Amino acid sequence: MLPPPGYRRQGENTVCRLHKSLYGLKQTSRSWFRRFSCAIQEIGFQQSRDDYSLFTQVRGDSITIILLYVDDMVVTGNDEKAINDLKAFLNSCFKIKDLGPLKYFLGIEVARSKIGITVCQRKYTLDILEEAGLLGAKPAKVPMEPDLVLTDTGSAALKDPTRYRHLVGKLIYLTISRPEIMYSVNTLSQFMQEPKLHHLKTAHRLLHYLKAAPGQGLLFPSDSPLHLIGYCDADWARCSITRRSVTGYCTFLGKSLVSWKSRKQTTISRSSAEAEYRSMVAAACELTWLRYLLKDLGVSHPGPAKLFCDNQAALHIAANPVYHEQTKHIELDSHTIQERIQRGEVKTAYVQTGKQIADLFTKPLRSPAFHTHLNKLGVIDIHTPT
Amino acid sequence: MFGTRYPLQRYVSYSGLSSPYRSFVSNISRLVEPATYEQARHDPQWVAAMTAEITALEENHTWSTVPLPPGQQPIGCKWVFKIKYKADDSIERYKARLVAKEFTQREGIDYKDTFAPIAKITTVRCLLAVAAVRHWPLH
Repeated sequence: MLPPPGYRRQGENTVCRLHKSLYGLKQTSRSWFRRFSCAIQEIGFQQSRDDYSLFTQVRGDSITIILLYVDDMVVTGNDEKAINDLKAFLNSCFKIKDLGPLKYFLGIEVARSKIGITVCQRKYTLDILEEAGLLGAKPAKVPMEPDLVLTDTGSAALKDPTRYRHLVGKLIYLTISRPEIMYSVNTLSQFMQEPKLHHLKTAHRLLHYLKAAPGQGLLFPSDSPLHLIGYCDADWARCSITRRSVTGYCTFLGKSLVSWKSRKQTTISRSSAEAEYRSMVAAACELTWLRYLLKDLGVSHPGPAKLFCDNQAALHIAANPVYHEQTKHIELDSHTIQERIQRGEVKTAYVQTGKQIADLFTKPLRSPAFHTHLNKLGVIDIHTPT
Repeated sequence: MFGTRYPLQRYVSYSGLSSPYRSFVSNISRLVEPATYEQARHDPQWVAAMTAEITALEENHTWSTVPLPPGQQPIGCKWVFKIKYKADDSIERYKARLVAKEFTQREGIDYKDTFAPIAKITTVRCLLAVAAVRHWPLH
């Protein structure tokens, strides 16, 4: 590196050979992570194979867990003493400040009470609304017009697409605590390349919905059992441009919603059963990963994870490894679900369409259905007076 | 990064202000964060800040001075100046930070791997859900 201005002595033609990282280097974050993970493994922590930023230490009954997010981290466990030792170690090694009980993590507001832990992004939501000039907007009941299918034509192109991209990017981050806007945000983000006026209008409509309850977030109840449940659904040929279907699933740890997805499938399905089957496979993969993760967190999960689907045909395909005329073109890797069922990792079951929570992630719903599903997701607004 | 791009004095005339308010306003506009080393080197406060940063870097053995190996291209660096304010808007300190210019780095020569894992947000939620049930403290 060239010596910094003011550092070079007259007439010398030397450079600085860097032994350590400096702010602004491309590899700064990597070398910080390497140094941290080496130090932490030396004192007996294990790096998880299922999420490399998770470190755990198990000593008999005591477990201590670190979750790292660049220079932000969460420390938890069942042994106060071990946690305090760890903090002292981190402080001596990295001068890490202890900010006390977790209140903010990555801009997410975390609160704790007797009923459980809540997360919300109230301030972040209000910031988005303010930026869009919609703080005083009329609240809307649902995030998107029911049954709306967005197309890429129909109105003039936006003069300033960067603002649209910026807004949608912020909304994507907001889905961390707002699962119900996932489908809408996913749809909006498909038009980042060439946003049109009606896309921006739909985005603003979503902001009207956010205005109704900016403090809405997720509750992780403390009286919840610790077993995995999944719901998967698909909407066949939802996308009018490509005729592809939408995968939607959500997984619960007991009563707590932990993950969800809304995504356009990569291939075209010939039947709704096939689309449902694909989304079932995606959900089963997620459940398997969560099982591994739970094991790292010291939670045993003896029985199979339950996966609910509202399509009988898809359930049959998954249950019977029989050769069907209608399924011969489905890629081999999709059939991993049959293996998982046989091994007892996942168990599929039927759920009525009306009780299918994952519906929320495949299409824009009408008000009563939307709010019934929302309640079941464990979404609450801690800022409303009760 | 850019100092004060639109300094107050360009738009405000002090003549119409009462004398205590004038001194307050002129105090604000005097506090300009310099954009370059050239602007900062004449102010003793910034020089002190830079000396502190260099001392810290040297104490950490961040670099050693060597003659430039033949055929090699050094990467650049620059100073970033920032005034740190306290919550009540009084000045906490003058901070100078030396940063490398990443855009002068070339892949494969100056660096190889840049990936650093970050936590999946699902893991965060999972951890919180388990912590809620097991009543683990969170820090």
